[in-house]
Amino acid sequence: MKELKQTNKIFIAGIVFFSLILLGVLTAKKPVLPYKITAKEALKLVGDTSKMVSIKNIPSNAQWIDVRNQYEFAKGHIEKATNVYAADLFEPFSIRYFEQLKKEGKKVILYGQDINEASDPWLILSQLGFDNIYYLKEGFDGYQNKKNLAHFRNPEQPALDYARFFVEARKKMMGEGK
Amino acid sequence: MKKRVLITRKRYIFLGLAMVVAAFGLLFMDGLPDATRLRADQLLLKSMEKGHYINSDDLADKIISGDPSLLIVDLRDSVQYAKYSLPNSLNVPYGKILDKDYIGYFDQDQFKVVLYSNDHLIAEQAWLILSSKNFSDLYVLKGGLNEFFNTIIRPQEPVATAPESEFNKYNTRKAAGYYFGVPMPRSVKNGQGGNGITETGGLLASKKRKAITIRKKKKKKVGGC
Repeated sequence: MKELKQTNKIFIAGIVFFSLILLGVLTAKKPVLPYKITAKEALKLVGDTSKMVSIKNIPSNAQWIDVRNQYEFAKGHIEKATNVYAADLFEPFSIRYFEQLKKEGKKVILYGQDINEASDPWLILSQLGFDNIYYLKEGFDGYQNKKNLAHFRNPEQPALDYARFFVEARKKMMGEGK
Repeated sequence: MKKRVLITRKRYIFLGLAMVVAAFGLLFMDGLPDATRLRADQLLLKSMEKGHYINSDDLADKIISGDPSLLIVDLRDSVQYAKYSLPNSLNVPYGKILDKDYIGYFDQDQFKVVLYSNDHLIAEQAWLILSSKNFSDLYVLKGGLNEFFNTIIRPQEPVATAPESEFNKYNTRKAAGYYFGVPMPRSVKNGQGGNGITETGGLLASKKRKAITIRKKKKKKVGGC
């Protein structure tokens, strides 16, 4: 009889132990939207020009999304664009909207005032499994000056030959000296 | 009676084994590749705070005053790096920042690491990836090398009606420019040695790299009791 009691105690202790572990696993804080790719895979997206869209050849069946705040949006925006302020990206209504666009098979093009404003939201969304998202190379500034795009410098292109600048500056000064 | 004792013993063994298995599970939790990644929504907020930008004037000031806590990382390829780079900067092409050989430069708490590329697009995206891995003390040169050239190397002279502070800023930038290799007029040094500039235009000063040793950061454990 004594043995039986001890067995029961062990049994109960076992159940309590495992239910505690189960409780811990179940209540662990899970992110609303987990990363779908690892940081190493995400690194391949950095500077990926195939995800940049130019104003010169806009794909059809695309949905423009303005990531600037609503005041900037109200001042002027690309036609047919919808406004999802970058800070509201993780609000349930934004996520539902992006999921719906993905389901419809639409290309989503993010834009901000310049390319940098859209780049962070793009890189974050791309890591969450939204692979239909692109961003505008010229930004809204470029859209407004559509006619002056001849002088547009591609992002990450050096604005001048840095090394030659020094050589020429030196030559110029030596010339003045003589 | 003997049978009961046997059952009890079996249960002891089973419980013991289960706990050992669970303990092993905890060990593996730390080994997951991205177990310590910052949540995506927190990452977005961090990037929108813009606290990680450092502008050209501040960086130039820090380089000239020889701030020992500064580690400048050039994220461009080695060809562009060889042509021109900021003095004492280290070359880690952006595709390699998570490689075993280089990750130590970012996963540390010893230096303020300033990332730069030609603009700040690549540097910012690299910053985002590194920050998502919960690395701290990372900064981005705002506007990149292009902006650095426009402000420090060839500053615009303010118009005559500009306030005095603008002229002070201009003079500071011009003086800084001489440090970064712009030939200084009326300097005796110009005649010989080429003011630190090689014939191909690279900076002599930038050829002399300081040795950088990184202390390994204490690994933070996740999970556990």
